[in-house]
Amino acid sequence: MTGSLSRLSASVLVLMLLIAPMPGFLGAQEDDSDGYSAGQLLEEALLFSADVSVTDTADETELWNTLVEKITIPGRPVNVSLESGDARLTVEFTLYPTKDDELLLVAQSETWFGDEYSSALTSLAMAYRDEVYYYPLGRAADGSVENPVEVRMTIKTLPYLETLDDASRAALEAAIDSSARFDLSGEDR
Amino acid sequence: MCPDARTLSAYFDGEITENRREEMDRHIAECPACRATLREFEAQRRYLRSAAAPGLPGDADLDHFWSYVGRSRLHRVRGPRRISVPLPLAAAAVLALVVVSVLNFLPLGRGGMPDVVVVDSRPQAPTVVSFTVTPADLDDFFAMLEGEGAGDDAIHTLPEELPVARFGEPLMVRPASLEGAP
Repeated sequence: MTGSLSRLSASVLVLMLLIAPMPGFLGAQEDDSDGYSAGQLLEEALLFSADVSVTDTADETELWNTLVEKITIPGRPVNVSLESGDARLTVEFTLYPTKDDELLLVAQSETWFGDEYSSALTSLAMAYRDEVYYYPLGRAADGSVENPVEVRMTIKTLPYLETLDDASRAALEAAIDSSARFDLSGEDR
Repeated sequence: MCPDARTLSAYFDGEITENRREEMDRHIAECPACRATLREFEAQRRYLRSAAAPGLPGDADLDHFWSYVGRSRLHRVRGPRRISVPLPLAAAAVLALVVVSVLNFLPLGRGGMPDVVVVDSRPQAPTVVSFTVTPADLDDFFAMLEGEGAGDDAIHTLPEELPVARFGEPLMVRPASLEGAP
């Protein structure tokens, strides 16, 4: 009897060992272990925008501009990269939630001017919908440089769902929300 | 000439023929060495039969032991040696192979659209379906929300005539703090 039980236990153990590592088996679909609920992702999603401008500070003329918009969630970085000749700038922005229901914006920048490399880490607390100016190459305000051209990134963060109109939001939530139900039984009701 | 030890032992145990025994009786009567050997045999027999002999099992224990040895030997000599696989283990292995084969053909966590996970498929009830996004699919999920042409990590190239320079350390400020600044 004991031998039979031990053989059966061994069989079950072998089966579990074979199957357990497979994705999507034995309740591995919990949000915090194997994936995220799409509905929860939508609730936490942020629309991160960086309005990048190059300005001649002598007369405040905007010489170049581009808008970078990305959807992300807190903790997931967004990259913004610029290139000009042998100069290259890469900034990795990451937003972290704070206890005050605000966000901590962290910018990790890397710059190359020819062979010269530098990196820096900058952070600032910001609220949703607020704007923050980020000067990745510093400010040209001391007049020591002729024809100074300044790079500025205007950062703004919005809850993603707030950026949608009512119809779009309802359609998206209905399509992705976990409360959506589909009758797959094939029976007419 | 003295008999060898095996013959002397057979004589001591009464396992020789009558004629041979008469010959050995005559020899032993004249041979002090053989008599001495027989006395040793007798001493050993007394010792082995002694109930006080330490560390030796009794007859019942010996019977039990030899019975166990006999059963064990029966198991060992019964048929050729072979490996037996318990039926439940064989069934489990076959089932595992089937499950592995099926799951390998399912598009679980292989990029593209998020997985569709059936969390409740009870008969006679509507099936509840929810989308789960795996970490590997996170980029695809947000790219899908951003739509075509958005959300790429392309490097933006500035016009070459713009003399971009580094003025100092990066600065992050709120617009309000710049009011009044040059």
